[in-house]
Amino acid sequence: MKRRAAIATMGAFSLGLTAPRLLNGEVIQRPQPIKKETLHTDILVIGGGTAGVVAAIQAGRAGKKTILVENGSMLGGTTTTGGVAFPGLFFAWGKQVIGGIGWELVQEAVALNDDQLPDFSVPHGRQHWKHQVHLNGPLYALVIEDKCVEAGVDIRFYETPAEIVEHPKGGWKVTTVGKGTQTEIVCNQLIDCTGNALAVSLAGFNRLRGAEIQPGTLMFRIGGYSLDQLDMPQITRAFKEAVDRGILVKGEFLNVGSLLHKAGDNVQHIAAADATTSTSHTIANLKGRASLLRTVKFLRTLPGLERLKVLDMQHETASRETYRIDSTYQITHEDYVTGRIFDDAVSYSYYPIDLHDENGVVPKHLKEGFVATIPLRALIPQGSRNLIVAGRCLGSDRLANSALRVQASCMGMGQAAAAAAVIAHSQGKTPADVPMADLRQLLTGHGAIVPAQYT
Amino acid sequence: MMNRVLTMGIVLVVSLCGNTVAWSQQQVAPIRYFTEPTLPQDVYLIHPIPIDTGETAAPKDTLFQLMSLEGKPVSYYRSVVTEVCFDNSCRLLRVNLYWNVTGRYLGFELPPHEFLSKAEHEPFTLDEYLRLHDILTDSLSPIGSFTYEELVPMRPVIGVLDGITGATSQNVLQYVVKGAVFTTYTIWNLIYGDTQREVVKATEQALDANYLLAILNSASVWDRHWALNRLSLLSDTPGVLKDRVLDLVCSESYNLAAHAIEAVPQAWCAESAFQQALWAEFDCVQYALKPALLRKIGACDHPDDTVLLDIARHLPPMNGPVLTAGLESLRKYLPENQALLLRVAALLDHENRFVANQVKKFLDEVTADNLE
Repeated sequence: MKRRAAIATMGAFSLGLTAPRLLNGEVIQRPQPIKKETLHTDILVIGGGTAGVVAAIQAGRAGKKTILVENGSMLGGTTTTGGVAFPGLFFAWGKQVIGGIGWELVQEAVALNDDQLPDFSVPHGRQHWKHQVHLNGPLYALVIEDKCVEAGVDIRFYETPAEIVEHPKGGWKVTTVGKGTQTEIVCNQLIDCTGNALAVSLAGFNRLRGAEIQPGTLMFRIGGYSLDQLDMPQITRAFKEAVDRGILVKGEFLNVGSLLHKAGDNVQHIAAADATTSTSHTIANLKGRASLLRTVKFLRTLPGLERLKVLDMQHETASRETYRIDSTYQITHEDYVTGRIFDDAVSYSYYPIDLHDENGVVPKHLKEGFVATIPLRALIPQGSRNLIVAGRCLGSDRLANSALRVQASCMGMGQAAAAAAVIAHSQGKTPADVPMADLRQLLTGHGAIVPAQYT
Repeated sequence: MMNRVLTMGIVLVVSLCGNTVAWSQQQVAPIRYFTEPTLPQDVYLIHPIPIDTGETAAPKDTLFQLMSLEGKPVSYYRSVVTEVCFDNSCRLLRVNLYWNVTGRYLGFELPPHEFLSKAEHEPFTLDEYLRLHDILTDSLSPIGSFTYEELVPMRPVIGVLDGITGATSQNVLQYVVKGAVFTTYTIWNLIYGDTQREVVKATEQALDANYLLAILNSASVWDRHWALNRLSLLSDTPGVLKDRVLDLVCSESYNLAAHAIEAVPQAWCAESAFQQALWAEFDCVQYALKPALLRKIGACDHPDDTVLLDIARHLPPMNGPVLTAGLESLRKYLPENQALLLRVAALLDHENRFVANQVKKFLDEVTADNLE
């Protein structure tokens, strides 16, 4: 008996040597292979940014089964993750030109934060930002997510497309990868709202890119100093010397006065910032953060700025320009500034020509009464079927794009692209072939403002 | 003429403002800058009103109410005397400040031979007068949020100084006439300070429907918003005023239309005829404001049955926030109103599954509320 007990004890010891020590309630999980599944949907929206959110809500509210794939952890793109919670412009020359779902989201976030809308009946003159709407970014993120869920949109965070091929039965098969997942999403209509035309490229269509692109910006907030206590001429001299000596990088902060006055709000320029791929976006993030750290360290050596602090910082460097699609029609600068109304116009766009470069930006305002329009053809990659884009990657020349890229215009495009996809799905067509009358009816039924000649 | 002290009972007829922006800077003529008043400036009577100014230099003063033959205010002014000093050299400055009946800035006028000056007593140029006039016109100017001490950094400020040689705060410079920071600041704060509230109080005491209608018809956005904010002060409202408000509900101006909906007094909603008239605006009101209109109707204490049924009839093409507001406007009345309930329930078979789902969720909530 003693011997048996001793052997049993030895067995227990040896088991203890090979098995993990489990606490009460713990179980062993075997190594888990990547979770693979196949989903079917009417409409797939890739990119949950400014345009993508509106597109997904529009598709969902039109009764379509909709999936929204977002590679980050939160919806809203530049407005939330990028920190530019200041969308515009929704009004031109006293009238609303972009409404619908985008405006609804903005309006709701403003009301929930007890904010006041600007008085749009007062002309903004050369200060167009007076008509932009200040939002509480985190609150906006909550509102748009709730609206997507309400519209029945299946949101898939942390996923990005890895392969896009035509489906034998029409439409697309999109393979996405995410945290521990690989998903095949079979859809009838695909909407690329990545801002970089990534899905368009994966689907085998050309993109355009300028020899140079606009710089990106890491949004942050600094404090710990009093402007009135600063010797600005001395600081300006010291800053310039630091740039000349290579301590600071030329062009990252064009004006130290502006940096201090605006306390970090949209003042940094990161050259060639490109959010298209993990690799390029990593570089942009590293450059943006290194720039901020370098600058903060330097500024703290100057009188009056010894206690300067970083109070807040966005999680990523936002980009202004990457790729544009090789679309059926490219909106030109001339189209934009003359307010050309296209036969297939689906949305307005109103913003100054706003090309940031190494010297900063001098917005060129539209002449009084002019408002640009966006034709459906500018959202459709040449030669494609069942594929449409919304957002800054629409087909346009560089100058026109510098105005078209802004958030209100992207919201208008998101709604229009989704409406076209909805009708295409319902009628068994491709977005390029949907009847304009049907498209206008769907858009206006959901509050969108379709350019004048159709209203 | 206007800077004389006039006592009540003196009757005179003057035309105060003339054209939209009347100005002149001749040698002898007073320097005057004016915006467009709401009402014709046919002044028949000037009524002095003693006021507490809230100012340290002159806590008690007189506000002059310029009145029409009908005994209604048409504008107000104050003769302000203030001391402006440049590096310990001071002199008195006299300026007449004018307010519109709605409290907005109307203009300023300097007596003959008087002028505004900057550092070293250098007179304002024409452009600087215009700049000052523009700044004073902006009721939302950030200058209103600065304290006196913030105007010039790191300098002790005693009394009323202007044009001192220290640098003006960087933050302030863009909102003032260069070299005249204290003059700009002082006049702006006089315009938008306690006196403005006295002006508004005095006008409110003279309000009646026709007078308010005249203000509501003003070309000034400020005036229209001002009048909308005071609809509830009237005990009796003629149809013509209600019609004007309903016109504004469908205004092309988003802000004005939104305010018109919000400002409709609850008391007006007691009348079925008004509810019907408000609901009749549904088609013309801007899409983004349709939910607000529906919420207004839904908030009426005793909504008209025909209006409720018509809202229900309009539900099928509604979507998003309009659908939500449409359903919510009916929520309280569904349990008691079979016809209404049937119309809403019919949407459960809506071809758009989003709409059908929204209606199902809504009806589930209504059912749960009534079971509790």
